[in-house]
Amino acid sequence: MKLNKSLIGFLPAGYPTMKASRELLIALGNEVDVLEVGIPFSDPVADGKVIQDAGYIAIKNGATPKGCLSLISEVKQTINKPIAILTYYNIPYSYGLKQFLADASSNGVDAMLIADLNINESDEFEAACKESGVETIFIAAPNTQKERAIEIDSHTTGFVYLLSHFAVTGTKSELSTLTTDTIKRVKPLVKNPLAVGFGISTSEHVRAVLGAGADGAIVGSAFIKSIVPGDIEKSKLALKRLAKELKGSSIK
Amino acid sequence: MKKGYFGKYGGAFMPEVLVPAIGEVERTFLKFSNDPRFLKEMNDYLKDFVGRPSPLYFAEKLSKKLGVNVYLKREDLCHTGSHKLNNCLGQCLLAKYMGKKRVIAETGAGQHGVATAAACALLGMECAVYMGSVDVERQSVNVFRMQLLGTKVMPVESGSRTLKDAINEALRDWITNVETTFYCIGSVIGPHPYPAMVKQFQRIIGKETKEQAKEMNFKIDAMVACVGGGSNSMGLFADFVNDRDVEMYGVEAGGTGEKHAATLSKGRPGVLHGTLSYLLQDENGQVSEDVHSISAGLDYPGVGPEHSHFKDSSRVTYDNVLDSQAVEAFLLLSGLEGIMPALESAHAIAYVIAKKEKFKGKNVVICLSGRGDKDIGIVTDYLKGHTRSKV
Repeated sequence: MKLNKSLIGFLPAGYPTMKASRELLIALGNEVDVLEVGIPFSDPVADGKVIQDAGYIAIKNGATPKGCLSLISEVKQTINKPIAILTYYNIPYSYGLKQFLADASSNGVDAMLIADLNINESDEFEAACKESGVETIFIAAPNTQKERAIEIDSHTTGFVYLLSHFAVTGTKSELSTLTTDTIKRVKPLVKNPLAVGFGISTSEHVRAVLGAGADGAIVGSAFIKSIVPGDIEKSKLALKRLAKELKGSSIK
Repeated sequence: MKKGYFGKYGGAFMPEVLVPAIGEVERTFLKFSNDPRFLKEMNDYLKDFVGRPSPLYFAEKLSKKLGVNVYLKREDLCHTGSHKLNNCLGQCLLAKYMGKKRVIAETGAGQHGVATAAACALLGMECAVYMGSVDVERQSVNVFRMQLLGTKVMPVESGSRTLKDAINEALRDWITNVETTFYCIGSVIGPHPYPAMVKQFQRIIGKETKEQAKEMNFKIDAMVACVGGGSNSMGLFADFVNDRDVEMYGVEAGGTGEKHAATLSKGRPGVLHGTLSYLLQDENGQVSEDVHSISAGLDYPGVGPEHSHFKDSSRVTYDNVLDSQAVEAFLLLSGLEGIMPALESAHAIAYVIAKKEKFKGKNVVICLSGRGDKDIGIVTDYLKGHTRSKV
């Protein structure tokens, strides 16, 4: 996937409802460079409270994996931008890994990240991605050593997703030097684009991670928090406003 | 076979940020599991702190009543009241050897939490235990016990607010504090190396049983143990897996029938908490929230991956009994033998009662994995709402 100081915006599919989610994803997708869509799972161990709660509500309101994929198809037809999906392994495993990737591809998904899948267990996932033409995204973290980062990069065909710090997803008031140091350390090790996520919520954060050499900045919880459940129009405006503000800080 | 797998089950499905941590746990475990200094320290604690060996007790009156020779492996007599401390001591000692200052754990009924709290107090380590807020309420005595032992109890408000959510939250803590913290998992679940490591620390149950049966001069025909995550059963079974003439039975929580925790009987393979194993889930792969057992320790939608392998290979027979049968067994053993079993262990006893014709005249070892004092309130409430049937 091509990233060039890109803003990647994340929302879980089906939040707060399937119907509202379609409009919100389109509103956000029109502003960002890449749209990242979560397919909610009941036990999201890598997520903080904001994404957990949104996913829980989405599942209660009928966000099935199949429904989420067809929602993505509708969004894709409108925004025509790269779409990455993020979920946990049991969702595609239960669906049937090959079938899931085939359906994802035919519904307009360009790349996929599985939060609880690392490269030691990813053979079947990678084979299914290759067959369907969906790109792989793998995570690197501040405690990922040099050799491991190179290995992760070699399994990746989309972009390397760098964790900004030791935490689950969620907004953070300040970025630490750990984040910028890690970007500077990992960036020269990878051939794929490098995007940084977890705790990125303000234009200062976006500016800092892109300035440190990242090719993309991923924002999720902050977008979810800007949604006003029950008021789609207000939510769309809030998403647009936040995306524009974050985008304005990217240094193209 | 691929590393960390039992047949097609197991593995380490973990976020990348935890990969170095589980690698460190694995290396330390491999390094010290045969280290004389570690083993001596461990054995001294098992003897003097836990109170091992635990007796293998011939339950004469129950045997006469059922027509089955019933031997009880008395893990209920271990310090803190269950087999859980065997594992906690092993893991916390490893954590200490690794130089970790802080230990986290999850707990459902509170047994693993109390055992971890005791091990941490013994070894001078900081300890935090995650517990679903529903369990905090129904096991308030164990919450107080943990606090007395110097542990911080962290109520979990997410999801179904029980054991599975406590594990989610413990994993989130581990992601956040991975450099300083050791995660002490309470059963043969989780990513590799935990299922193998917890089995190693619990296999003393079966090792002692084998020696004791020899000393008591009888041949074991069958072994029965309850299965939640499956640590007491795995501990009992491990040294007998290759003894093909010993039958093995794992008993899951059948709950009310409609709502249950019978993962192996009624689930299908899936990935939860880092391992591929049988899992109670809906048709979309969402983990079941309707998991229920009268025994909080069996109230888990997953099960250890090696149990899934034993199910598929038919080495172990898995079945389940209802809440009502477990309560009857609890009452029977209390009145007849003067031993109050944990409701978890009462499931194993209930199975032998239900299948007494099958076991007639045979020598059957039941793992009495814990004592029932913690369950008195639950049993009292249950009896208020139900009329007893005849055993």
